[in-house]
Amino acid sequence: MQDTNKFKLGLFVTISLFVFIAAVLSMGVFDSLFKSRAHMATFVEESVQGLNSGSAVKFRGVPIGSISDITIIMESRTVRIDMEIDLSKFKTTLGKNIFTTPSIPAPEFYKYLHSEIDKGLCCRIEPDGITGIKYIEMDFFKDVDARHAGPEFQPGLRNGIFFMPSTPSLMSSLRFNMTEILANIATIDFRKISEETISLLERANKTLNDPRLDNLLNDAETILKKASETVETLNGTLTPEKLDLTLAELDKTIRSIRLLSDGLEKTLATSKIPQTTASIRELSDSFSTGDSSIKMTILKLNEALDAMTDLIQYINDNPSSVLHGKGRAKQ
Amino acid sequence: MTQNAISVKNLTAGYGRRIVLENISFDVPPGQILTILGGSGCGKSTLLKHMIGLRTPFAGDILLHGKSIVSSTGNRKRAIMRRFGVAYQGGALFRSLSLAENIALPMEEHTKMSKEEIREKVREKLRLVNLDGYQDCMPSDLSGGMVKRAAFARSLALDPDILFFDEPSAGLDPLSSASLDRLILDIREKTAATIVVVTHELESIFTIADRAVMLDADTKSIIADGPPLELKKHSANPFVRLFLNAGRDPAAHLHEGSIHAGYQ
Amino acid sequence: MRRRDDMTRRNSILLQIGDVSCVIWQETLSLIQFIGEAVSACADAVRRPRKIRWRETLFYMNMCGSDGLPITALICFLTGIILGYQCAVQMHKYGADAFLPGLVGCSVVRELGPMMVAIVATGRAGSAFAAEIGTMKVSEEIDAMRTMGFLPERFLVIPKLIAMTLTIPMLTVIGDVMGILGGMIVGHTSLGMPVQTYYQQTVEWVAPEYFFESIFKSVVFAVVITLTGCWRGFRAGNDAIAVGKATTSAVVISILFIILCDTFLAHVFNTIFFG
Repeated sequence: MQDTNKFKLGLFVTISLFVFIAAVLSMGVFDSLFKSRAHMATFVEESVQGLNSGSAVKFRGVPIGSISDITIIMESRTVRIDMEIDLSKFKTTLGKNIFTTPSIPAPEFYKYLHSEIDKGLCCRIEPDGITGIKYIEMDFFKDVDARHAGPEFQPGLRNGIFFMPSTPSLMSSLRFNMTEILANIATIDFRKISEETISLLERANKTLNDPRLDNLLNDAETILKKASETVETLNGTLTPEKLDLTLAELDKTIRSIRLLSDGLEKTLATSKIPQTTASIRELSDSFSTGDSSIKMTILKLNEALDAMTDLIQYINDNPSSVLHGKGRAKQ
Repeated sequence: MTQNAISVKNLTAGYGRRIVLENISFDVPPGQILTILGGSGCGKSTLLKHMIGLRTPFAGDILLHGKSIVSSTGNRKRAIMRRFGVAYQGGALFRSLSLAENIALPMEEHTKMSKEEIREKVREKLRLVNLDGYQDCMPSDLSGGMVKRAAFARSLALDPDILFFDEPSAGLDPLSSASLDRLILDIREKTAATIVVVTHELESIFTIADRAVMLDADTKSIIADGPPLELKKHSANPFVRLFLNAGRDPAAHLHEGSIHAGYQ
Repeated sequence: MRRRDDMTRRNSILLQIGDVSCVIWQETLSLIQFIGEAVSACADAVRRPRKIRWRETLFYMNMCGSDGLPITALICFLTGIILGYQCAVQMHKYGADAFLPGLVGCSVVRELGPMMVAIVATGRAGSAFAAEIGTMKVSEEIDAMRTMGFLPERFLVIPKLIAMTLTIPMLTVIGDVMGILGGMIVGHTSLGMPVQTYYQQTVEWVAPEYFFESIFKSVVFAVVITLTGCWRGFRAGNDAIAVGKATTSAVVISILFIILCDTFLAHVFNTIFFG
C-alpha cells in the first residue's frame, strides 16, 4: 500500500471543516443559540401570500428579525404571524461607543413597544419591490386605524408573546376598494339588459324584414321620381328668365288694360263702370302679387324636393335610421 | 476408499454459444500432482476456471472434497473456495499491497489469528518459497520468478488441501522454471496437498506430474490420461506422443497440417 | 461466404437497433446486479466495520480529496467568475445589480458547486477507479480475490465509497465558497458593489437549507461516481484496450448519471423541501 500522505489529508480535512463551520455560522444557523430574542405576534385578516417563515421583519426599514411561524386561526379566518426579534438591534442610547452599547432586555423592549403602540405603531405587510416577496413593516402609518377586532387581539404581552396591532396592507385596502366597486357593478342586471336588447333587436329585424316596408320605400321612391320629373319639367318651362318675361308681358298687358280702364274710367266716371274697373284692378293686383307667390312656391317646392332627395339617400344608406331616428352623421 | 479431492463429472463448458469442453470426467485422488496439458486454446484455462468456481459450466458438476462448487453459492461457495489455493499465471498479487500484506490478507479476512500469529505465518510461508526477507517489497519490485513464488506463498496462506497453479513456469528462464518445479514438489511434500498444474512445459510435466490429462481443441475432450512418461512412449494417440516428444517423434506419422490443427 | 452474410446482416438497421437494445439491456442488468452487490457489501461493512480497509480508505481520501482540492477550487472559482460576469452584464441592463449576489450564490451553492466538483471528481477519481479495477481484472487480481473467498465489491468498492462520500462533500463546501468568491470579485470589480454588501446579500439569499442541499447532492454524486467507476472497471474486458474503454465509459456514464440525478434532485428539492 502506498503510504498515505497524512499531513496533506489532515490539512485538507481541516480546511474543509473550517470552511464548513465558517459558512454555517455566517448563514446564521446558530444565531438563535447566541442572540437574545423577543417574541411577537400579530393578526391579519388578509392573504399573507408572499410571506414565509424566515421573511424579514423591519422596524422603520431596519431589519430587526424574522417570521418564525404563520398559522391560521380557524374560528375567525385570521392569520397569526409569529415573529422573532433580534434585540441586539435595539440600543437605548447612542452611547460613547455604539458597539459596546448593550442590547436591551426583553421586558424593556416590550415596555417600549407598549408606549409606541399608543403613539400609533402597528404592523403592516409590505411588498419588497417587484419580486413578490413581502415582509412585515412596523411603523407609524398615517391615516390608518390599527385593528383590534376582539379582546383576544388586544395588543400586549401574553404568555411571553407580545401581540402587536396590525393594519391592512396597501394592497389589501386597494383590493377591498376594488372588491366594493366590483360588487356594485355586480348588482347591475346584465342578463335582463341583454335579454331586452335581444328582444328589441329581434323586433327590429322583424320590422325590417316586413315586405310592407319595402313596398313603402318603393312607393316613396316612385313618388319621388315623379315629383322630381315634374320639378324638372317645371324647371324647364319655368326658368326665371322665361317667367320674368311672361310676367313682364303680363304686366304690359295689365298696364295696357289699366290704360284702357283709365280711359274707360274717364269715360264711365259717372256711370257704374268704376265698380267694374275696381274689381278689374283687384284682379290685376292679385295677379301682380300672384306672380311672386308662384315663384316662391316653386322655389320652396324645389327646396323641398332637394331635402326629400337627401332624405331618401340617407334612408337608403342607413335603413335602420327609419327606426332609430337620425343617428350621428356618417363622415 | 478415500474421497477424491477433485472429481469432474460430465463437464460441458464454454463461452457464450461456443462449447470448449464437452462431457469431460476425471477424478483426482488426494495428494496427487495432476498436470492439465494441451495446445493453446484447448480449454486448459477454461477447465481451471470452472474447477476454481470462477465460471459456471453449461452442464455437469465439479466436486471438491465431495462438495459441489457448481451448485453452491454465496457463503457456502466462499467456504469451499477457502479450502483451495490458486496461483495465477501472472501472479495476480495485489499491487497496492506489500508481499507480506498480500500473503496476510486471506488470514486477516478469514481467520481470527492475532497480528503476531499472522506475521509468523507469513514468514513461514515466505521461507517455504525461499522469499524470506522480502516481506516489505512491493510486487512491482520483484522479478517474474519471485512473483510466481510469492503467488505460491499466498495460495498456501490458508493451508489449503488443494492447490491450483496456472502456468507456473510460463515466461520464466529454464533455471527459474526448474526451481519452481522443485518448489512444487517441495510443497507437496510439506503440505500433502493435491496439486493441479496447468502447463505446457514438457520439463515440468515430466518432473512433477504423477498424472497428466491432455485436452484437445478438436474433440473438446480428454485425449490422454495417465502418467506422462507412459503417455510419451505408449499413448495410442499419435498427437499425444508428438506433443510429449516436443514434436520430434519419429513414430508419429503426422502431417504438418494436423499438427497445426491440433495447436489451434 | 460467412463474411458476406455478416456484412449484409450488419447493414440491417433493425439488427443494429436490436443489438444496441440487447447491449443496453445487459448493461442495465449488470448495473442492477452490481448495485445489489455493492449494497450488500455496504450492509456487510456496517455490520463489521472492523473489516473495512481503512488504510485504503485514507489513501483514496487523499487521492480524491487533498490532491483534487487545488483543481476543484480553481474550477469552482472560475465558474463563479464566469457566472457572475455573464449575469452582471445581463442584469445591469435592467438595473437588477442588487440581485447578482443572490443569483450567483444560489446557482453556485444549489447547482454548479456540487455539479462542478462532481465532474472534476469523475475525471479524476471515477476514471481512476475504472482503470484500477480494469487493470486488476486483466492481471487476474479480481479472480484471485474471488478464489480467496473475498467479495471484490466489498474489498474494492467500500473504501472508495467511504472516501468519496467523505471527501466530495468537503470539496463541495470549499467549491461553493470559491464560487461565491468568484462572483464577489466580479460584483466588486465590474458592478462596483462593496464586498460587505455582496457578502450581506449572499448571506441573505443563500439559505442554510441550500447549503445542506449542496452537501446532500454531493454525497449522492459521490456514490454515483464511485459506483459507476467501479462498475465499468468490473465490466472491463481482459486486455489493455478494454481498460481504456472502461475508463472512457466510466467518465461518460458517470457524467450522464450525475446530470440525471441532478435533474431529479432539483425537482425533488424544489417541490418537496422548498415547495
